[in-house]
Formats: sequence, C-alpha cells, structure tokens
Amino acid sequence: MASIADVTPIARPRKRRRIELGVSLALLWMALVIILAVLAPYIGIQSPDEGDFTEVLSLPSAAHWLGTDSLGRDVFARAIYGAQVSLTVALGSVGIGLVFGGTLGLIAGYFGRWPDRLLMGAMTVLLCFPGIILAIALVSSLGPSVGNVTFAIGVIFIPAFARIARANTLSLRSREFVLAAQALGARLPRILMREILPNLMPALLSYAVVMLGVAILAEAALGFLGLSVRPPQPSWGGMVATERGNLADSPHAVFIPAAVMFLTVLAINWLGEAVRRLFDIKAQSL
Amino acid sequence: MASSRPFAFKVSMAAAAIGIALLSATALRAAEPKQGGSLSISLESDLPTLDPLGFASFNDREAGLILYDTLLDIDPKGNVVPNIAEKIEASPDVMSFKLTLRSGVTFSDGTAYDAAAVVKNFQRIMDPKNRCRCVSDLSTIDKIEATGPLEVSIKMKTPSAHFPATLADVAGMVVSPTAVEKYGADFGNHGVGAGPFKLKEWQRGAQVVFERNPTYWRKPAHLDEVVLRPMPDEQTRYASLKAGNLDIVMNAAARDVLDAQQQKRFQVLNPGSLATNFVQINMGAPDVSDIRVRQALAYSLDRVAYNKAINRGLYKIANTPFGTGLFPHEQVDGYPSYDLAKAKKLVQDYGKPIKIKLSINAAPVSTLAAQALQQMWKKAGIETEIIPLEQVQLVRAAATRDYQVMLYRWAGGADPDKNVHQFFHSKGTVNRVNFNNPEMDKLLDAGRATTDQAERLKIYRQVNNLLAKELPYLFLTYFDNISLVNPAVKGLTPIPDGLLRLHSVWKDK
Amino acid sequence: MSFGPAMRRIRSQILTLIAVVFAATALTFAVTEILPGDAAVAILGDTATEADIQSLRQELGLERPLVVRYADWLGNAITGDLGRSYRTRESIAVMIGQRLPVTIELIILTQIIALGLAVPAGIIAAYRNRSGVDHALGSVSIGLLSMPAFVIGIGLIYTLSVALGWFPASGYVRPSDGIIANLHSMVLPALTLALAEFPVYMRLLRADMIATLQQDFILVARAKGLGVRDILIGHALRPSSLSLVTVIGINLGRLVGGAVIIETLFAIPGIGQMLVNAVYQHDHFAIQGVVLVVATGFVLINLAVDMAYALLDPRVRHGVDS
Repeated sequence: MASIADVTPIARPRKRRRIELGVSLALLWMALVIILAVLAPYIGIQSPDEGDFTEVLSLPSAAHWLGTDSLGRDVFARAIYGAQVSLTVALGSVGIGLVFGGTLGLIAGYFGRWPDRLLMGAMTVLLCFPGIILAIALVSSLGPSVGNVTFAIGVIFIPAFARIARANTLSLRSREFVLAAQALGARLPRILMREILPNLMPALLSYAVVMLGVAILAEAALGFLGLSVRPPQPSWGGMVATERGNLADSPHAVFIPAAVMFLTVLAINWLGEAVRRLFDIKAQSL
Repeated sequence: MASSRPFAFKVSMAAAAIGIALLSATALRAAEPKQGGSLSISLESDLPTLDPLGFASFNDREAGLILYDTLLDIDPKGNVVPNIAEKIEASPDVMSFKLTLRSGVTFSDGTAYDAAAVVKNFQRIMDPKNRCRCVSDLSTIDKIEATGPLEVSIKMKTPSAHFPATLADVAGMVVSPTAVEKYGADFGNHGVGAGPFKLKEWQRGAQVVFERNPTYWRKPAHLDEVVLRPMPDEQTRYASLKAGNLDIVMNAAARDVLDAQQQKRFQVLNPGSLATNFVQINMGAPDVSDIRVRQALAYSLDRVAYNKAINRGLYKIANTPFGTGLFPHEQVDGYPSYDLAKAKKLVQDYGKPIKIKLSINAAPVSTLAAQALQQMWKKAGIETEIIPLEQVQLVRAAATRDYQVMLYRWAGGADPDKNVHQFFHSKGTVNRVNFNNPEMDKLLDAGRATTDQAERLKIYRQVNNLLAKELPYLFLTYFDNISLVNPAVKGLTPIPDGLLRLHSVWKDK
Repeated sequence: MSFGPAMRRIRSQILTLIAVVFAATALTFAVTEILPGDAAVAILGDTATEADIQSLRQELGLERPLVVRYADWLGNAITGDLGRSYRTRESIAVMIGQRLPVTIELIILTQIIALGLAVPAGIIAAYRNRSGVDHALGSVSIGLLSMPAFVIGIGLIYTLSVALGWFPASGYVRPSDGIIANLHSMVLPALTLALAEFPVYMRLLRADMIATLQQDFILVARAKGLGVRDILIGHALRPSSLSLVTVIGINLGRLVGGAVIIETLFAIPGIGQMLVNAVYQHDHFAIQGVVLVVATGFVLINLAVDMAYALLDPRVRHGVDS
C-alpha cells in the first residue's frame, strides 16, 4: 500500500551530485559570457563592425574563430558585443518589472479597496496593449537603443510582476503571522518589509529569473522585427534575424548566435531552478 | 489476288504504323498546353484594393495585369507594343496621339470595351478627387476624347514621347464603366475588367482567387484559377515553394535564387530589369552640397564587393538610372569607378570632417546594405550614422527633403523618361534631391519631344553623363525581379518589368 | 457566496470594464499621435508632394485637435461604427469580424495543446519530484524556454513541412472550406506557440503543486485513505492552479500580440497582423478598433480569472470583500 512518502516529496540527497554538475556548468558559462562581455573592449578581439567583403560568410578558421557573417564581420566578436546588449536588456527590464511591478502589486494586494482597484485598473490598461504594439510605439518614437529597448520591455513586464505580487500578497495578508504582527501593533512599513515581503520573494524571484530568459528572447523578437538596437551594433536577436535566410548555405552565421542565445538562456534557467530549490527548502522549514 | 507477303509481316507493319502514329500523337500532345489547374503566386503583402486608383506596389500591378490587362504591353526587349489597343500613332510634334482599339472586346460583365469606356476611365483616373497614384504619369494630358467608336484621341500640353509607355502600366488598366456605376465607392472590392481572369473571391489577408474569364479577347486562358497569397515573410515564401504549397515566388531574394540555381529544382525566370537601387543625395544639405564630398562618396564605393556581399553577385552594377530592360540607354561616359585613393584625397581637399546621416527603410536587407556602405565610406575617412525609419516615415522624409543621404530604389518605367524626368527636372514632381540644372531641364524636355530612337539615345546619353558629373544619385545596382517557378508551370515569358502575364500559362499535371 | 456582495462585485466589475476600455482607447489615440509618420503619406505613397499631403490631412480631419477627434471616434464607436481603414477603405468592424476569429482559433488551439501537455507533465513532475522523469521533463521544458518562438517556428517549418511534407509551410484555410483542412493549416503555428508556452505552465504548476503537496490537508486526505490520483487531481490541483490561472489570464492578452510574429511567419490572417500593419501604415481607425476589441475581451477574461480565484482559493474569497 502506498505511504505518505509517496505523496509528500522530500529531497533525495543521492541526486545532488548530478544537479550540482549542471549548476556548475551553468555558472561557468554565465561567468564566461559576463567576463567576455564586460572586458570586450579591453581584450584583443576583433571589431564587430568592420567587415572584409572578400570573406563574406566564411566558415570558422584561425583568423575568424566562429566564421564571418553576411558582411564579412567576425561572428565571435559580434556574439560577445551582442552579449552586452542582451545582458543589459535582461537585467534592466527585469529590474524595472520587479521593482515597480512588485511594489505596485504589494500595495494593491495589501490595502485592497480603491488602491487595489486603481492600480489593478492601470495594470489592466497596460496589459490590454499587446506588448508588441507598445514595443513598436515606444521604440519607433524614442528611437532604437539599448536603453529604450530595456525600457520598453521593462514596461511590458510590470503588470505581470504586479499581478503575481498582488495574488500572493492577498493570500499572505490573512496568514497567522501577519495577523499576529498586526495584533502586536507593528507599524505598516515593518509589516510590509518584515512579514510580507520575505514571503513574497520566492514567488517573485523565481518568476524574475524566468523573466530574465524571457527578456533576452523578447529582445530577439524585437530584433526579428527590426526594432532592436541601431545597426551596426550587434544583438543576438538581430543577428539571427539578419542571417536566417542563409540557413541553407551558411548555417553557421545563424546557428552560432542562436546557440549562444540558447545556451545563455538555458544557463539562466538552470540557475533559476537552483535558486528555486533553495527557496523550496526554505519554504519547507517555515 | 493473293498477297505476296506472309500474314505475320503485315501484322507487324500495321503494329509499327500504329505505334508510330501513337508516338507522334503523344509527342504532339506533350507540346500542347493542358487545360485546367490552379496557379498560386506569393505576394509580399495583401492588396489594399482591386481598384487601379490605389495600385502602387509591384504586387498590386500584378493583380492589375490579371484582372484588367493593359491597353499596350511591353515585349521581352522592353519595347512598347500593342495589346488591347491595336495601335497608337503619334503626331510628328508628339503633342497628340491616336489610339485605335480592337473591335469586339468586352469586359467580363459584358460591357463593350470601346472608346467611350476608355475615355471614361481616363477621366476617372485623372480626377484629382480620386487621388490615383498614377496621376503624375498623366500630368501632361490636355484633352481626351472619343473620335470614333474604337478611336481615342489624346492631346498633350507639351511634347510627350513617354506617353505610350504609361499605357502599359496602371494608367492603361481600364475598368468597366458599368461596374463603377454599380458599385461606386465599393468598386475596390469587386474589380471588373477585361483581363484573362475575373475575381472569384477575396479572403482578406489570406488569398485572392481569380477564375478564368471566358470572354477574354485573346483565347480564354488555359488555367482554371489563379490564387494570389500574401506572405509577408521572405523565408516562408521560399519554404512554401519547396514544400509544394506554392507555384511561384515573385521578386525572390538573391540567396534563394542562388539556391534554386544550384539545386536545379525550380525554374529561374530572370527578365532583366527596369529598376535601380541607389543612394539619393539631398543636394541642399550640409557637406553633401559640395561636389567633392559627393565624388568622395562615389569613388569609395567598391560596388563589385558590395554586390557580392549583399546580392551574392546576382545583379548588374548600375551607372545610370536605366536598367537592362531599357537597353541601350545604360551607357555613360565617366561615371566614377572604385578608387579609394582618389576618394581619400577628395576628403582631404574638402578639409572639414564629414559626418553623413544615412536614412534607410528598417528592413533587414536595407539594414545590411547600409552597413556595407557605412564600412566602405569609413575607409575613405567619412563617418556615417544609420537612421532606420519605417517605410512611411522614409517617404515623408524624402518628400519634405528632411534627410541628408537616403538609400532608395525605383521600380522603373518602360520609357527612359519615366526614370529621369520626375526626379531630375527642376519642376519634377518627385525631385527629392533639390536638383536644379538648366542643362538637365533642356535635355529632359528634348527627350520628350521626339520619338526618333536614335535621337533619344543621344539625349539620354547626355543625361547620363550629366548625372555622372553632378552625382545627385550614387547608383548601386540594377535589380532584377526574378521569379522562382514550379517546373510544372509552362508558358511564362520574361518581361523586363518583372510582372507575369498569365494568359498563355498552363500547368503540366 | 451571498447574493448582495456578488451583485455589488459584478456591478463594480462592469464599471471597471468601461473605465479600462475608455482609458485604453484614449491612451491609444495619444500614442498613435506621437508615433512618427503620417497616415496621409501612407495613403498617397512614394510620389506624394507636400501640397498633396496637407490637403489630404485636411480632408481626413487629421488637423483637428486630439480631443475632438477622440470624441468623434467614441461617438461613432458607441453606435457600432468603427470607421473605415484609410488604406483599404474596408469597414473596420468587418475587418475585425473576419480576422478576430482566426486569432481566437489560434490562441484556443495553442492553449489546448499547451495545457494538454503541461498539466499532466506538471502533475507528474511534482509527484515524482527529483526523479528521472522530473529531470527529463525539466530539461525539455528548459530547452524550449531557451529558444525564441520564431526559431521554433522556423525549425518546425523546415522539418515537418519542407522535409517531411506533413503540414503546409504557410497559409490559412477557412473552416467553411473544410474543418480538417482548417485544423491542418493551423497545426504548425499553434504548435509553435504552444511549445513556447508549455514550459512556463508546466513549471508553475509543478512548483505550486510541490508546495501544496507539503501542506497539512494533503496529509489529512492521505490519512483518510484516498488514492493517489484522487488526491493529486481532486484535492491538490485546484489550490496549485493559482499562479497558473494568473499567467493564463495574462497570456491570453499577450498572445494576441505575441501571435503577430507567428501570424507573419505562417501567413495567418489574424488580428495581430492587422494591428501591426495598421501601426506601420498609421491606419488610425484600424488601430483604435482593434485596441477596443482586444481591451474589452481582455477585461472580460480578467473578470473570469477573478471569479476563478474565488472558486479555487477560499482564503481569497473572504479576503477581498473586507
């Protein structure tokens, strides 16, 4: 007969070594990407903007480690400079969403009544705009740049974070420890900061980590539509969009930025899983 | 009389005879067009309307040929030839034309395609309230009237040798006056003409379906049906052709053409071209108003390398506004060729640092091309900033001359005048470059005033030379509207405007 | 739930709906204004002269103040007249009527496929937490999450369509021309979007379900002797669906825009594509019409989501009305 253990999942130490291998690889990859992206101008890689027309779409070689693209530019260099764009956009936009969205959701969820209705109404209005329209509108009127793309994606993220924060705050608001704190006469900031926020963080942070990957993919989608950073600045999405027509005869020009983007988002997601497991354990001990 | 040959021999001779007869019959039948079938063609975007008043893009004009046919047509060499109109005669001073129509032609709704219908059509497209995109083509017309049941006489305000060519385009697509009367403002959803096919059904955004017009003035078409399918994504178009969901990709991308040529699976229809890619320079803007800067920009362009990188070497380098379909007008003396040293010297002579703002359409191909230009100009010491705009913004910027340098293209017209007059005449309606040169004006007006081919050749040669000297445009390449075609489709003739005439096309099932 | 508060809530929801739709359309008008570019140029095209542009702007009433134009549009919209497209002269209402069902069909198919894959996968992964199956599902979902939707789409086109010929690479067949053909033409686009949504759904459900399965009332159910399947689906699934339902609600609105790229790639004539083309062409009435419909639909879905909260989590029901 099945026992309680069947239904209640408990961490099994046996698997830890395999999990840690995945996490280590992910950390290594992210470290590599981040270090290269930050140090790009200082180490001796080639210029991402200058191309040699006689070497258009050439395969990886000693001169060009990952080959060249449609204009003879070094793919390796462009992938690294593209990383700068993708990482900035990811961190910036998720930051905007988390901070502004999380705060608004927290306020709405805790206070209820008209602040809730007003804030959620505003969020709904924002959500009514298909994100793509907002992105097109913002990037067309403000101009294509890393900052504006980050801003546009960040704004699109705010409502989602707000709703998650609100939903979880609503649940937490009537929990025992909050009621206890209120009964003890704790002041509002303390209740929000010390009781609710820490319990909100697991849900928000695990969503945030997922959204980092989503942000990188959103930038790729904007690149597909020609709305990402201004050329010749490289971005992973822009590179895939520009080179995808060459899939048949020069797949490396498309596969490499796609693979780099894939591995980076994969690593982020893997690390996110590890973060979540950390919070799972914490949650278990509550 | 008893036969002198054995029975078996007779049988085998008979069998051989029958066999040969059958073989020749099948051989003949193989060359004969099959009736029936449906042809699907990709469009770059959905048609805005079926009314010629709104036709602008390549797509639209293709639908126009299918539904309306034209008064005159273009032959594979780019000459203007009769079509629904039997002949067009010009007066010696080229100030008036006489158009003679074929007899017995009707629209698909039965209305007679006669002089009255043609005159009504002209009045309709020339009415400023209707805002036809073709209005600039007809700006020199003074008066049009029917001088006989099948005869139309057209008087011009100024000599207009270019006029016949406009009747091979949108201005020559005549609509049924009865249908216009009947549908009024809704005509754009119905489109009744005298073309080889008539409208069966329009599923907006998904497909436009045409069916055979049984009263077409040539014999009725072989195909039962033609389907135009809007497919905005270039990669999807070629993938659909390869997957067997599509018969023809029009205006195929260079890399897809190369792939098709290598794979030898599809027919590659290259009709030559009337169209040119170029960089237009606003001669009133800072820095580029100086001829040395324009020359530096021209000399630093390695167009062979550019063509190889952007177009896989597929198109021809252009030194004039006249594509291969306008042969032999593409000859010029002294257009700047690639000379980096000379470019650098010109930049030095100019003295001041040069920063160029290059406005482009934000599409991937233009973006790539712009970056190529940016790199080449950098080698000569000229800094370039790329400004991507949506197509609508780009056109507005050009119209209001709110740009310094712009990457652009012109689809071309079948008469040389159409590729130069409106752009370079000081009173030209589409003169976006602030080009004001009395010698050019004289040449362009002279080009319109004579139908003598030799004379015109000399005039347009001088136009080319003047353009090469003043450099309001930096010519890059001609681009050919190449179509990739399912091998089962037969009977397509390559015509330099890149459009497909479907009246004799058939499908080998 | 007592009757009085429920009615009050419904009334306030309707007021919210009106307010939100009003705000969304007003905001759209303002945003379209600041978009650089011009409807008149879009209509007149390449050879437009400045004089032509100005006179057309006058004719279209584009020179009037913003508030006047908005009031005009609103007045017409209330009577059901959404105006005509500048570009094609079609009635906006008719255009939306043709295209909206296509996108809705796409979204519904997407959700069916995505949930059909994600719910069983999420339950299994939570139940067999940390096992090989969980890791395998996790890897697949992480992998899918790491690819942009258009890359997945292009991959599917090249494998299932060009190479294998199982599905058309593009195009849309109307249901009236054959249900089977219609579904056949929608499989690849819906599958592309579903594969992009599946990971998020699965992981959310799994995470919530793991947390739920640790709670006391599960122990109680176990002690009562209920079978595994009963517990998982009957007791644990509902409270674990909170985040999932939230995200589905958000997604339905997001998918309309997100479907744009897929609609473009597969040549599906939906409302997402209509909207983007309208933005590029500065086709004001088309933009307004679509935003009106999308905003209304979205708010109605939110209403449904809110009611679903109440049904799923008793704590919420009592919390909100204080």
